[in-house]
Amino acid sequence: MPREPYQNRIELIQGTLDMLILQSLRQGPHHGYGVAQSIRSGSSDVLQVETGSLYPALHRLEKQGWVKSEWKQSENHQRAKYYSLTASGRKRLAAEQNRWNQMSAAIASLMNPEEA
Amino acid sequence: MRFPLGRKRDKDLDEEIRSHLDMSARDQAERGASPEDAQLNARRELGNQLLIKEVTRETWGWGPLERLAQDFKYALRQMRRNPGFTALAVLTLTLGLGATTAIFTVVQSVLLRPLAFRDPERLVRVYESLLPQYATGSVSYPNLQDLRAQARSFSLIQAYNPVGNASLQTTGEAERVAVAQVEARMFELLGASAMLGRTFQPGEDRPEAAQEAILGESLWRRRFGADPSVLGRPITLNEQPYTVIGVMPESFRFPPGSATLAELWTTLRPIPRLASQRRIHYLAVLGRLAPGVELASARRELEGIAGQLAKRYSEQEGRNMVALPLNEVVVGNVRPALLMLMGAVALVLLIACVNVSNLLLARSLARRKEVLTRIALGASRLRILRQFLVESLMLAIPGAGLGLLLSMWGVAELRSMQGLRMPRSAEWHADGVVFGFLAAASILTSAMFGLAPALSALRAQRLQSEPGRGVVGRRQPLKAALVAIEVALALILLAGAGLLMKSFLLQRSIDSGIRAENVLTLQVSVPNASYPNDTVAQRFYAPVLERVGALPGVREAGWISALPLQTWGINGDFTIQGRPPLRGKDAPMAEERIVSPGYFQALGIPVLRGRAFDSSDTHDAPLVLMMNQALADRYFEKGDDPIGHQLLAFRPEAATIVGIVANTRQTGLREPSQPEIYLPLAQYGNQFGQMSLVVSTQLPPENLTSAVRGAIVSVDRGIPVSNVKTMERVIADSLADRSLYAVLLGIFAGVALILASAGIYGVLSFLVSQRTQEIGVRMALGATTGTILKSVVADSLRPVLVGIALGFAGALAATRALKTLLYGVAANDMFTFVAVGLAMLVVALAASWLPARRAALVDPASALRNE
Repeated sequence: MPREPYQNRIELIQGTLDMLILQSLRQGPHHGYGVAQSIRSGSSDVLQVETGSLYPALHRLEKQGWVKSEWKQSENHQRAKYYSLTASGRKRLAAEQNRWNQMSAAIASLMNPEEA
Repeated sequence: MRFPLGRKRDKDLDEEIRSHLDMSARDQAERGASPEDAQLNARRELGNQLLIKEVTRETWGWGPLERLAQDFKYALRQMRRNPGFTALAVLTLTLGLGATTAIFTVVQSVLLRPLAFRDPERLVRVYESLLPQYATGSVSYPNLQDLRAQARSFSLIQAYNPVGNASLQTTGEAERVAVAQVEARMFELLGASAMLGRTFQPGEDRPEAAQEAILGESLWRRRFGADPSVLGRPITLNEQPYTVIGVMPESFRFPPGSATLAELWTTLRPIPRLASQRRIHYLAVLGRLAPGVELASARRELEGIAGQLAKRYSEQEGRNMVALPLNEVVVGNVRPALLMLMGAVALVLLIACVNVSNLLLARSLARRKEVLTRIALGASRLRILRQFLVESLMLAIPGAGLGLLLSMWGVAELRSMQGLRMPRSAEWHADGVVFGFLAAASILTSAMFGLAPALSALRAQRLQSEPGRGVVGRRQPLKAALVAIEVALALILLAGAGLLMKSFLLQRSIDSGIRAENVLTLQVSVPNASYPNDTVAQRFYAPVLERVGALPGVREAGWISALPLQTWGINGDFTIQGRPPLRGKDAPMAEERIVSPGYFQALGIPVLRGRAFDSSDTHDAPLVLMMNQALADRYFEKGDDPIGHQLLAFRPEAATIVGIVANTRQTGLREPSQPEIYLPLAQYGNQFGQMSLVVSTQLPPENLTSAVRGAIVSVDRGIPVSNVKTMERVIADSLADRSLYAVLLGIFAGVALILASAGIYGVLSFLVSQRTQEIGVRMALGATTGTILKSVVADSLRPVLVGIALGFAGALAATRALKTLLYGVAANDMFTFVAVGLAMLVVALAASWLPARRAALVDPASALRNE
């Protein structure tokens, strides 16, 4: 596994969360609450993103240069911090997605051998 | 401690979380919750805000600045936790850095900072020389004129008359001010201009020009209340009228490098009597090298000119002219002394360094656990190293600040030292270079004393599995080495101080040839305008002697033109009548002094043959003179009695030798007695300018000061009195520089000794505490208190003895630099070395006694229970 320059406490979940965040930002800039909502609704409430993981993740992604942020007016005319994907973030997302696909296929084939 | 960037990020994060909460609450409300419930639910859903913020902040990581700030904060906490340790370390560094900075301030002000004139490196001082006696002598007026007419190497040559005192009268009472007479273009030569009014213009030094004066800034402020309308005002100097034309700023210090700076300038004019006298040398001459001219070629040209003069005029035979760079002249012979002191304070600083290092080392062992924990938590070695160095720096910063204060106090003390004649002392102050030096020294110092403890703490990493506590305490080679170094450095200083002290005491015990106890001296300068030379003795000096002699408690009183033991005086050649006259360097030379009756008696100088001057030697009586034994020894054959011989000296008429007195040291205690001619005051007047009154008393001389002053005032209230001193003070002042060096080095050596003994004590206490169990076991096995004591002291003596051996080697090399400062003592004087070695040993033993005693009193049972 390639080592990230930051320390992952719970590697899998965090890596996955990062990927999900990047994915949710593909449609366009969003604030933290929006990202959480879109992951939640996109997974039919299966995946609940803890705020305690969300913001550290967003800030970490920003530090890595995969997302950038700016303060904008929200749909409710409130100031909110909007995150958007950067070019390297898109590349990262593609790589993560690729890896995820491989892994889920591998896990699927392990879990359901008769279908292979 | 957070930096602005960090604060903005914090605020951003707060707002981000708040907007999250708002949006969440709005959603809740839209789903039908009451506003209060919505808020509550949103908060509940979010979880622990503080924790979220904390975890998020952690992802930012620490910027390098913030990490450094954290280190500083941590260091500060460490310092506060150990106030005793902190105070000791800071005090030690204050002493080391303060002493170093003080001496460096002087070095910078005297040796390094350029003179405050335009292009000072192009300025030279021109001398006439007559080797071997006079390497740098004054210039006579005709020679100055010839020099100026012929020399092409200089863009300007100007003469001045070294500072004399004159009585300044404005509206109030007379005041003595230091006056320098300069040729009109001197200011132009130095590139100095007036802050108010103007300087002299070319030609204003001609005999017929009106008399003008330029004031120094301090005199202008003191005496004229900084009044700008002073320009054009008439003043009276030595009873002659002058017009003020300008004010020079305080920064114009003249004569260059002199300890007595002029406060007033007048023009130097040819003195009719001396203008044609090629053999009377009294002018100081400055020159500015012409553009593109090297000093060497200027010197060659001067040699050529002097050669021509020697061919043309017989009195110039053997005389040469030389030019020396002005800055060299100004620094004079203090360079070796200053460098010696600089070396000494560097040693003190090194010892301070070693001491603090030792203190930190003891602590770094105690902090091993902390270091291990931090490494276990992921701190890098570099981070820990930096932490330790930052802690060192935090000790050095207050040390540097207090050291700067100490140095400022020290420099002020040095400057005010009585009788000290050090060049440029008015310019001694800290400047940017001094601050830079202090900063560099502090950083270097903290790196030096911080490195060993830091590395030792890091070694903890390798000793992670703490070895089982052995019974025998581990030896501490690093600490023992530090003790040895401290002892060695302190010994070098002690040896230097011992040598200087011994040589100073030897100088003090030199017989000056005079009886100095209970003698009061003071100086007057009597203006020629009101007292012409032929009558001044009769009208002023003799009446004063009469009245002073009548005072109760006075034994004898007399006048002389220059007190003994002065580095200045007047000398000249002479011929003994009946012998072929010798010219140039073979001409007999002697110091010349004008004295009154009573002088020799007042100082207890015995008349060896003939008689002393008395009241019969009046102005109209036949010319007489006296001489000293040194002159008789050098210029008269054994059987040839000088009494009755005729001498031509100072005046063209011959004078009869009437008496021979014993030798005195005229030019300094270290200098052998020179041949000397004494001329009677009644016949010569005060042709040499100032006269000093010497009064021997039955009471403590200080008690008679006001009575003697009163006697002078009763003769003429307009004559100012200065330099009131006891003769003992005069002698002490003549050794002021040597005593200062000895005292300073003594202080530095004392500080070094205290620091070193504190270091030894600290290390031994530590070692003993490490060995408590071993000692307990040994005592349980039957060792006596005596054996324990012996063993601990022996342990401590090993590094001390190594240090003493190293110190001797270092001192032998270092004290060679003292050679020029020593008198009558060899740089490797055995007695001094053995004495300071023993002193060091005694101090080291004393420092090890307390810890050894503590070790011997260990209670074996409790020591073993400690296990």
